[in-house]
This record gives sequence, C-alpha cells and structure tokens, in this order.
Amino acid sequence: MRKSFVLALMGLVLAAAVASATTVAYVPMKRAVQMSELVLIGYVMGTEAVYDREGQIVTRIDLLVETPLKGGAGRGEIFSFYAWGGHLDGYNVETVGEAHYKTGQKVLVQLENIEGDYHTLGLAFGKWDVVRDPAGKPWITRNLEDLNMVGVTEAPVEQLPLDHMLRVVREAARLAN
Amino acid sequence: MKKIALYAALLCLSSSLFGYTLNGRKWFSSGEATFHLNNSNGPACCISSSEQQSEISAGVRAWGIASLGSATTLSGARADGVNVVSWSKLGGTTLGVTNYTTTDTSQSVTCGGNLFYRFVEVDVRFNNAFKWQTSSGCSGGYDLQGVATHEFGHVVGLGHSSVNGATMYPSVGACDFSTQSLSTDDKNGYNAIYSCR
Repeated sequence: MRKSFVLALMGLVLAAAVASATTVAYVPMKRAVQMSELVLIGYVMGTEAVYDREGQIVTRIDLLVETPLKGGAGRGEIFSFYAWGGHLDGYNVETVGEAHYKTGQKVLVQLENIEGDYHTLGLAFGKWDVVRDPAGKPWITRNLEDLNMVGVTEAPVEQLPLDHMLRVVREAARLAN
Repeated sequence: MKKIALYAALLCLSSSLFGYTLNGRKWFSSGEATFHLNNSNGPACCISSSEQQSEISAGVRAWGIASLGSATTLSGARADGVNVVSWSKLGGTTLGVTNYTTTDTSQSVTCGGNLFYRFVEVDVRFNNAFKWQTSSGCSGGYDLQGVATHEFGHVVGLGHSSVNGATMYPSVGACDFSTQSLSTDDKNGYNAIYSCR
C-alpha cells in the first residue's frame, strides 16, 4: 500500500514537471496586497472566452463576491475579471503561467487593472484556492509551478492559513492610511 | 520501512537527475520558428530600440532552431499565423508572457522516445512598463536578454529544469545574469527535442 503511494507520488512529481512558464517579478506577500487594487474572496460562477479590445482571446471570469477584502466590489456582487488565453472560434490559446478557474471553485484573487480590465496580479501568482484542512480550518493555496520568478528574495509562499492573509491585508491597509 | 526510505531517496534524486523537462511540442523546421519583432510599443525608459532588438535577438539565437526575421507591426496577442514578439502593458509584476497560440495535434513526431506535436504559432510579449537593462551591471532593472532566453526556451519546447543555475530553472535572484548563457542541462534538453529533425 505504502509502495503504491510512493510510486504514485513519484508519478505525480514527474507529471507536474511537464510545465512551462511566464516570467514575473517576485514580490513578497504584503507588497503584492499593496499592489492589488482589489482582493476578493468568492465563488467562480462561470467562465467564457471572448475577444478583448485588442482582438486577443481572453477568458472572462464571473466571480460571486463573498468577502471583499480590499477595493470597491461589494458582497453579493458579480465581479468580472479576465485571464489571458482561452478556447474560442477553433483556437485554443494557452497563456502559460496563467491561472485556471473552474465553475463553483472558491478562490481568493488579487486583482490589478491593466488597460481598463482587471487581471490577477502576476497571473497564477495572484490566484489562491480556498480549501479547508481536516480540522475545518480555511487555508489558501496557489500553484506557482508554471511561473518563472525573477528577483526572488525568499521562498515564495504557496499555502497559508486564510487568517494569515487577512492579517496581511489588514496590515497593508493600515500602512496605506 | 527500508523500501519506503529507498523510494523517498529515489524521489528526491529523480528531480535532480532528470533536470530539463519537455513540453511535448516542437518546431518541425527552422523556417517555421521565425519570429517577427514589433518594437513600436517598446519601453520608454532606459533601453533603446536597437538595444531591445539585439537583446531579444540574443535570447532567440541562444536556441538554434529559432531566429528573428523581419520587423512587423502585428500584435503578439492575436492568433494570426505569425510568430510575433511585441511589447505591451502586462501589469505590475509580469515581465514576459509566452502564448502557445496554435499547436497542430494532428501532426506529431517521436524523438528519443518522446512524442512531440507541431508548433504552428507562438507569441511572446514583454512588459513595456518595466525598467529593462542590457548590461550585467545591477541598477534596479531587469535583464532583458536573460528573460528572453528563458522565454524562448519555452518557445522551442522546453519546460522548467530542476537544475539550479540552468537558464530554464524557474527562479532567479535579483541581479543574477546567469540565464543569458545556456547550461549543459539546457543544451541537453534542447538536443532531446531537436537531435532528430
């Protein structure tokens, strides 16, 4: 049983290694919150590939906001933002390193305004999945394996208790005031 | 228990032994891997248009199959059948984005036991809002040639490497210009894709 588990784990590692990247400048947690115009917790209500004003294929994500932590979105609002790439009109444009969303998923997103549209800060860097540990405590996790990070000064955080992120957001807000 | 320890050791060893990774896609000819630079929207500060071209060109040329062709006015964001390298606003932390715009999965080849589908179009964009620099001096800018070399590693079909110091290693410290030149692991990865054309 243990042998199967370890072999399965090895298989997962090898599969996960087949990935590629987009390059982002590494920023620590607090700085990333400061750079985010909005920080929202919510449920993905739907996704749809569309053309943006430049004619590129992007995916619109409609988020039902449960908890607005920073910025102007309200609780219960459907807030839309965009991810680069998507499947439309026979094209399947893959922007490597971009965050992926599934309908029904609970996420925490850090959003910035790029040319009038909201995107996650640093693609997958700004998208966290909200999960619960066996004791029911909420955590947030993110997948950074497709990102190439430049200027790394510490081990990038990939998971932490949600409470910790709430403290970071409060601290960033306090410093801004 | 000993077996568990052995498997765990193998698991750790595997990541350092394997080094480079492949993305299952490759260019079927060098002509198809010609990229066209749109420099019209380049960064306003600190690096001239000709420097942009030479830095990006060096990043492209590092990988033998790819080359930089004539200039273009096309956008690197669209699926238009042309491989474009361009500049645009990509936000506050994103330095460069690679789009696997079109892959033809009806055509494939095998090389060294690895299956590769045919790249048709790949586009690369760099963020014009950042301060980019050309030399190996450290003045708060980002190394355009190093980032271009890494991005074009993905363009030719490589994934990330577990070998610290390789161009395709996914983490670089501040003021580290080592990704401009390919390591043995990077070259081995490239050869795993293109040793059989």
